[in-house]
Amino acid sequence: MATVAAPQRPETLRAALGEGYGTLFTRQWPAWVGGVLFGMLNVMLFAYEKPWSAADGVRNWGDWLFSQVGAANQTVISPHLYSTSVLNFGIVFGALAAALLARQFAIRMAPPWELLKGVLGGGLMGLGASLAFGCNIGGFFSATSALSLAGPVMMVGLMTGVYIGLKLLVWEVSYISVPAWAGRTRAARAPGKFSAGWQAVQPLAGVSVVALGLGLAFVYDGFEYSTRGGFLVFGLVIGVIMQRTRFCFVRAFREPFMTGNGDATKAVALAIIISSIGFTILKWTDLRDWEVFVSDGFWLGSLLGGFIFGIGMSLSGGCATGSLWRAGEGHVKLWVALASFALSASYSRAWLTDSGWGSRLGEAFFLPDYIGWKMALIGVIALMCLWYLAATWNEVKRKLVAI
Amino acid sequence: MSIQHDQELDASGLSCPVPVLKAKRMLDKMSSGHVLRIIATDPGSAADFPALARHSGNELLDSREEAGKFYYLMRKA
Repeated sequence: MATVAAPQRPETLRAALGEGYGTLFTRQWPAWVGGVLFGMLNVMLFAYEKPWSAADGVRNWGDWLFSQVGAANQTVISPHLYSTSVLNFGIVFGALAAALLARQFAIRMAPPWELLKGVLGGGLMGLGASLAFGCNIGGFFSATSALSLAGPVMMVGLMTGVYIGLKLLVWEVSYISVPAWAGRTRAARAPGKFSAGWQAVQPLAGVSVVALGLGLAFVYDGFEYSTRGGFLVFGLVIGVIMQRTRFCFVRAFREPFMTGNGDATKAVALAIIISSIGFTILKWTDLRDWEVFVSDGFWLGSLLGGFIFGIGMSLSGGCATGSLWRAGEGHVKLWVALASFALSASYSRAWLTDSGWGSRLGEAFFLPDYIGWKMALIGVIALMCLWYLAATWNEVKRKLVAI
Repeated sequence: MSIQHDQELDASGLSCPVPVLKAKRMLDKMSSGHVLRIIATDPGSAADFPALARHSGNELLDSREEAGKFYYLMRKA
């Protein structure tokens, strides 16, 4: 066993600052730190304007692209003015800044086969998010916190989908022999002088990205779009925390089935416990409307959408927000997944509206209308505690591991 | 000290969770005591391989990062 060293007082100011920098940007933050911070940030977002969501912002990019080529029949809010899109841009830039500050940024090319899985996964996520009225953030995290029963139903769908997705990946690794040209990344250049210099300037570039982002928020303010500027700042903060904690909803659902590690699961459960308390206070006191994030997806839309979304995020290796922060870290596969997500979400949402299927996905189910505020909040917290306990039990027993 | 490895898995460019699944698959086929060297570029692998080691009982002999690549040595139990 290693002995625990007594904390040493740093000798110089430079050493003290360096130590602080190391804590923030060299070592990864524990997952539960992300859980606590995201739980609180979601309440702040709701108090600020609306709960956290991601898919509608990505869909806005698809809508905008279709409208640019003349394929959309309604006016589309430009991505730089659509609040969730601005929040998403913030997440990408926040993650980029954090990766640079941690000297972890690199353009990470993926083999063609992986890119194909990114396209497929992104496409499924776009469809799933349209059916479930949101991705795992808007349709599960925020919806559950908002005491909508559609949230827990999507959780069931996501769990099943991720399980099937993991089985598909195991099957792929076992039985599909990918041709060499499709399975290999082009050899990266040997690290040379340029690369060493790049390592040194990365933190400086990271600081510049943060400064640029904050400056841009003031530009929004200057043009009387202060709220959008606020969303950009929220996004930057979320992006930094996501990159430093490597926060991942896929991991939360998948890891109990894969390695048995429950850290991500426990972090998400913790986030929802915190945000559900905050959301309930905001709604119960009538500071915010009751129907916010209580979508019409109960139960078919949420269940089916969650299932399809779960398979999609397993294949691409990141949900909507997971793709956003990994895109900021330089993963090309997730750039491709996001593009596919945007187009698919835009297309499937338009199809659901035009065909009339969108109104047949279910109804709104606001828990307090049926069992009262107290029981609704207790129920959500109990469900999350159960998930937390199941993940912990599985860490010891590993009964759920299926690879 | 450098440890000799018997097999190698180059998972460069592959993202979570494929490197872990491939490593698991190779380890399953290897004979006890043999060592697998894994090369990965996904920073997420830094958390995955210790978790795989804990779950599978295979020993993680070494893990290190050099010039943006991650190297792991695992011994089949």
